[in-house]
Amino acid sequence: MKKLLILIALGCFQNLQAQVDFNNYVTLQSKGPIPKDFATQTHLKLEEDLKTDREGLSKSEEAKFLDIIHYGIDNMLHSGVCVYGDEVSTYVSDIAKNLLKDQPEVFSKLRFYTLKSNMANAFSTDQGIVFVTTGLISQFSNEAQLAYVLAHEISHYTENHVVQGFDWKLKNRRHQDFIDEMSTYSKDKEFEADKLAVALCHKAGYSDDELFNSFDVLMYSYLPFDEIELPKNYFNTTDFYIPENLFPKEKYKIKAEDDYDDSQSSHPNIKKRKEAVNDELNKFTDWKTARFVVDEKRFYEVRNICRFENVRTDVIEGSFGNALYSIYLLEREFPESINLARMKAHCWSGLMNFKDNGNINQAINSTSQLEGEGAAMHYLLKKLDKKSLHSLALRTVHDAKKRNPEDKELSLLYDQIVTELASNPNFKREEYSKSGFHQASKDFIALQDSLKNVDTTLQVVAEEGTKKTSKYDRIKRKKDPNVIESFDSTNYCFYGLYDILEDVGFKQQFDQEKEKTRLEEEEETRISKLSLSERKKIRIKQEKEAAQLGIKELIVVEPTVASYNSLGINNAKSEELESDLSEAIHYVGKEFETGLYDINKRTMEQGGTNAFNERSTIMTYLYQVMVADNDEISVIPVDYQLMQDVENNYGTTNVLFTLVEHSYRPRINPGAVVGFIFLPPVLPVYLLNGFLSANRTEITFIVLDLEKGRASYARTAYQNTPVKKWNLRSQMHNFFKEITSTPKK
Amino acid sequence: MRIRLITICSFISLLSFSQDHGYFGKKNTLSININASNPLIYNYLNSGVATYKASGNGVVIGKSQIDYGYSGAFSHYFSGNFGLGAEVAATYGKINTDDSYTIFDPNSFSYEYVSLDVEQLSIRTITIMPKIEFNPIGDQLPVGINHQIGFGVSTTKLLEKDYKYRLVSANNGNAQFGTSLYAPYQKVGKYYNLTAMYAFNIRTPISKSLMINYGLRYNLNFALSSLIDELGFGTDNYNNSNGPAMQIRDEIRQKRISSIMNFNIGITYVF
Repeated sequence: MKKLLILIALGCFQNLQAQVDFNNYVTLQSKGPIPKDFATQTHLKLEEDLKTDREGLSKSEEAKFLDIIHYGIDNMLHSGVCVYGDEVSTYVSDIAKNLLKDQPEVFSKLRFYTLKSNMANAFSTDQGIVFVTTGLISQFSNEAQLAYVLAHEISHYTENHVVQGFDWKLKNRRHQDFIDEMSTYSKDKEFEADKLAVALCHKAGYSDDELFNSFDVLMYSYLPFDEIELPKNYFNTTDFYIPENLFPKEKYKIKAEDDYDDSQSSHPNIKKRKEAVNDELNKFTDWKTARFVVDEKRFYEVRNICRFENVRTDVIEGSFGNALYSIYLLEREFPESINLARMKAHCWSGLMNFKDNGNINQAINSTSQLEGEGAAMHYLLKKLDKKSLHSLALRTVHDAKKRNPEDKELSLLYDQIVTELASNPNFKREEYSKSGFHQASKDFIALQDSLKNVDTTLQVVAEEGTKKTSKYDRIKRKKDPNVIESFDSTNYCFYGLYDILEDVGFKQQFDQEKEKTRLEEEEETRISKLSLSERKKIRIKQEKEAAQLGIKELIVVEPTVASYNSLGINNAKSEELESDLSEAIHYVGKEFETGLYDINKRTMEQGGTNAFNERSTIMTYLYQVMVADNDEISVIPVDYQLMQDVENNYGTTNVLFTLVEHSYRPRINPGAVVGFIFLPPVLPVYLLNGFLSANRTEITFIVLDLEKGRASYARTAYQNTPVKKWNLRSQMHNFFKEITSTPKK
Repeated sequence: MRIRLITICSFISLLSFSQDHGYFGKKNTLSININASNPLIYNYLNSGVATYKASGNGVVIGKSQIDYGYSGAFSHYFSGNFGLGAEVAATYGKINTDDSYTIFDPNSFSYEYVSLDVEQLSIRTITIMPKIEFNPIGDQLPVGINHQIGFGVSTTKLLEKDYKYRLVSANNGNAQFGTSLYAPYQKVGKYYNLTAMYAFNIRTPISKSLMINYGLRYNLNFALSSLIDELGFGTDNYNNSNGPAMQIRDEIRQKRISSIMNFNIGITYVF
């Protein structure tokens, strides 16, 4: 009986674990105890690993290899996009466990983590970490395909390909490039891993057909996770209308081919890989047919998680065209998802920001990149002019808010759009029609029809009446969307918004914002009329006051140092200096009696998974703010709910980021040195200056105000001194002095 | 993480507040330095002249290899790039004197040629100089590298002390040593000159209020001719009583002109 109860309880737990509420989806969070990979400092890992000899590498090569690999991997682990113990990682781990059921000793050495990245990729490291991206999993059709890619990566690990294929040029690549490099081996090694993966999958009982299909997944993984036509009425409502001519007339071809020229590539082309794998598949005759071995239900759930993550990643990165198409695809299965509604609102708000600032191309694919069904979304966004985009954004976000009146995030996004419209001088409420597009169109047609039936005498009378109105009255009438005969279908964006524009709440907010903008403009005009010195005085005063934030508490996230030498980043020195930087912040924080809460990788062990998740949330937000690249607007966090938790947990909305970059590049010109033979006294100063002023240190401070959704303080201090304890403390002092003070009344 | 933060640089161009400058917000410094230099050029220019240094109760051939001094300076920094200051410096050095006399003996109606070999004479130069400090790269003054340019007045005088000497008769080679010769030089007076200065200086903080500073400085000294004339040393007359003083003033002039460079090290108090 007891056993039965335990089994029931376990079953319930598994069900609970497996159930993800996609209607209220919250981004993947790390779970369980924090793994050593995340909690141990990099130099300690290095020291530990250096004790083991690696075949084929000299001691110095080994040191270099480990330095690059460890720091590269740790940067990725702490980049804010990596998660552990989550639904995806555990599922991937379970598949690997099944693949390695005959090699438990290999499985016990492996750790599986998920990267929230839209790059479709997976790779293993020399240390036994296997990374799989959400972008890759979102593309698979079944578990067998995922198992094959995993088996391939596990084979790279077991065959020690990472060390053998180590590229010495890895150092200092951006982390996306690092992923590329980590998943790049020679053609021979790729073939070898493919073959070994076939054997592993065969043992695990997967279908051979699906393994073969995995290559199609890889080939088309640059496209969205599905290929479904975007309906031309997708954006239409009963009153709002987007004309069909804004959609592409013809389909965009998918260009990928499996027999591409791979002479310059480290990977063999897909066709060759397929052929090689086919030979390997034929070696086994007893293939089973399973597309799912571990759990079919979990696969679909995990894939959906990854697809939701794809949308989130696109929103963070400002790839709003891709995000909107993915949202459309997911809405088919989850039409009631509030998460998708929020993401959509983020997209429209972001698109408005990009469009108004003239960098809409950041958010959509270029014409040469348009392929497949997803191209329609990009094409449409490219075609929309500012006013149309404003109307569509307002309509979409308003409707989403109306459906979810209690949702704070949607309300904030809607408010942001209203604020932006109010501050836009080209948005005039009176330009908008009081009827919907379809109604206006019907009225117009009815009017045309009625005019046809009117007898000639009446027409003459009407013309006489026209003569009595002036040219200017007629122009005004033509421009007025509320005049039936002025209806013009190309002005579609002026119809179907009446309910919003006449809404009391909208009007009140709009008018308030408009008034605020007017007052700001008036103040600007007043200042512009002052003398140069008065303007300078005011500017200095304003800048000073803007920096006086009166901060009493700060969340200090990851004080970072990048110390460069001639080879690139000196990781060990950087890590050492990071401790000094952290110490300097605390030294000065104490002096100013500022409450400081650390969230960084050095304190991860104490903070545990909760701190790790909080750190990831904040890092993501910082990135989102950077992508928005506009200090005029508030950036609503893509993980709004989680950010609220962070604020509540720490009781402050101010987050401090600091970055110190230091390089030393002596500038001694041998020609000049020779020249100074004729002017010897100048040589010592030339040499001193050349060597000593070769230090370049930049200290960047950013205070992110989570409540306001923007950076409230950002500054870089430049020094031509090395990074030293007292220098750092002094800079910190000046910084704290400003942000802790309050403007004088 | 690191990579993401690095890209902030473009982002922060949007928001750049004028941060409070100074070291821990302190914008004034008081520095005390010692300086030293090798009078390389002066010695080179006088390489044909016999020079002497004190040894016991007499003199031996030799020359001073070091000039030294100390200075105090005050600076105020208006920004992280620019400051104004003033300094007072005292520098000690040695100059040569080469003298001989013809002594007429009325009893024997003969002349005796006597060579006066005096140890190198000590001079002290006091400089008062307003200066500017700047650092075009970075905004961390008073910390780190700074360039200083100053323009001031120096006054040099011969130090009053008993110089050791020997008198050597050219007639018979007899030598007579003495330890108190100053009186002939009393008329030298003060030598004024204008000084232009460029210094390359580095300050390294060692505590919240103190820094070590060190660097090189170049001086260009220009004679104040009007003052020379006013003091009546304008004529080249070895026979008058001002002869030795005139010669010494020439030496001082040469010394000042050839004192081009020195090294300094000191401590700076920040407040």
